[in-house]
Amino acid sequence: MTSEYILAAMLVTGVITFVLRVAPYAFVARVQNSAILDYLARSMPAGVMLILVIYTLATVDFQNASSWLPPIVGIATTAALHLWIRQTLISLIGGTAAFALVFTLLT
Amino acid sequence: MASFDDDARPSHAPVQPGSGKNASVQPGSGTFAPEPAAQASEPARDAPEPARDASLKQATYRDIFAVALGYIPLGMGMGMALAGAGIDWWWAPVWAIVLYSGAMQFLLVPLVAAQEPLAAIALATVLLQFRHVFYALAFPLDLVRGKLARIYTAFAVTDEAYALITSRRRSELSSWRIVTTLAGCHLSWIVGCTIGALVGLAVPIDDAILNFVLTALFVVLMIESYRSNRARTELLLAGVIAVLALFIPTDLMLASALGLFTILLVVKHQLNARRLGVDA
Repeated sequence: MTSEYILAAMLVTGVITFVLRVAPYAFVARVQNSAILDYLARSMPAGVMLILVIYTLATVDFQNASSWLPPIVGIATTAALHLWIRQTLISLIGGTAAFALVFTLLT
Repeated sequence: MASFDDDARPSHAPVQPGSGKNASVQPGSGTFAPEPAAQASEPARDAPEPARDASLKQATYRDIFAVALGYIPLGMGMGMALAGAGIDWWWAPVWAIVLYSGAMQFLLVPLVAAQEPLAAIALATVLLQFRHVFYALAFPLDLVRGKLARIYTAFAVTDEAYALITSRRRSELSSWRIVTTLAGCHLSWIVGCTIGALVGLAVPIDDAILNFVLTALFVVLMIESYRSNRARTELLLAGVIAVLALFIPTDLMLASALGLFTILLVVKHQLNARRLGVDA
């Protein structure tokens, strides 16, 4: 993990993020009338987040309870807290605490 | 970019009945003092603005304070995850300034730690950040004066800033208020990330725990997205794709799953459009 690689990764991410945030104002009328963009805007975000949730579990060993139990408990706690109280910070802290508790008990 | 010149496009006043009522109340009863530092971010103005009014100033600082209450702890989590992954601490403020995106910065930590190819990072960025395209539809950028201030504003519209600004009535907003709010939120994020990275260096926490913050963040964002769009079939499709992708090598997984998901959604949309006889 060299500084050059981290810088390159940041620049790739930064340029794309900047363009996605700034460029649309130049095309507002066109974006507003695009059926496919409108469909993607509605249907993609939740799915992309789910793929990212599962991606973060890629290194979990599902044969081994001390590997899969902490994230499953953490995810269930996060989701339950968020469905109940709907305060992002509470959900994150509570879910991570539940993960840390099970993780510490099992390792 | 023509639209960054003043008065380049017509304005759309976001209609949010019932919102932003407290912006004009209680002059002089603010719970915290206005910070002179926020003055530095004022855009160039050629006409006096109503935001100079003391009660609007206080409402602006209250807004920043509300976002900072969330951004400082979340930024600290981000900084700690970064330091925990063995990335030099000073990248935390650099990323916070240049990227200024919570979910993306959190995701970049494992991507960089796993030495993912830049193409995979680029694809992940496009798909995670694509939602920003739609923020342009309702954000009152036309109120902001000065080309640089407009570009900064468009750059600094995070999920929270978008929700905050578009929940205010157009008459309560001004160039000064929008730019000050966004700069204040940005500053709180930079402070949070920096403190977190330094704390992470001083008090090492098992990085399995810090990495879980990212998982939890995506769970929360998924629930919020689902709540606003209820795209059940698409969510199910994403779940199936992601589980199948667990069986391919990890460094190909994210790009393959996100790419396949996008392609299948486009195909689904085209098929629906054809069936309905609509020109997509």
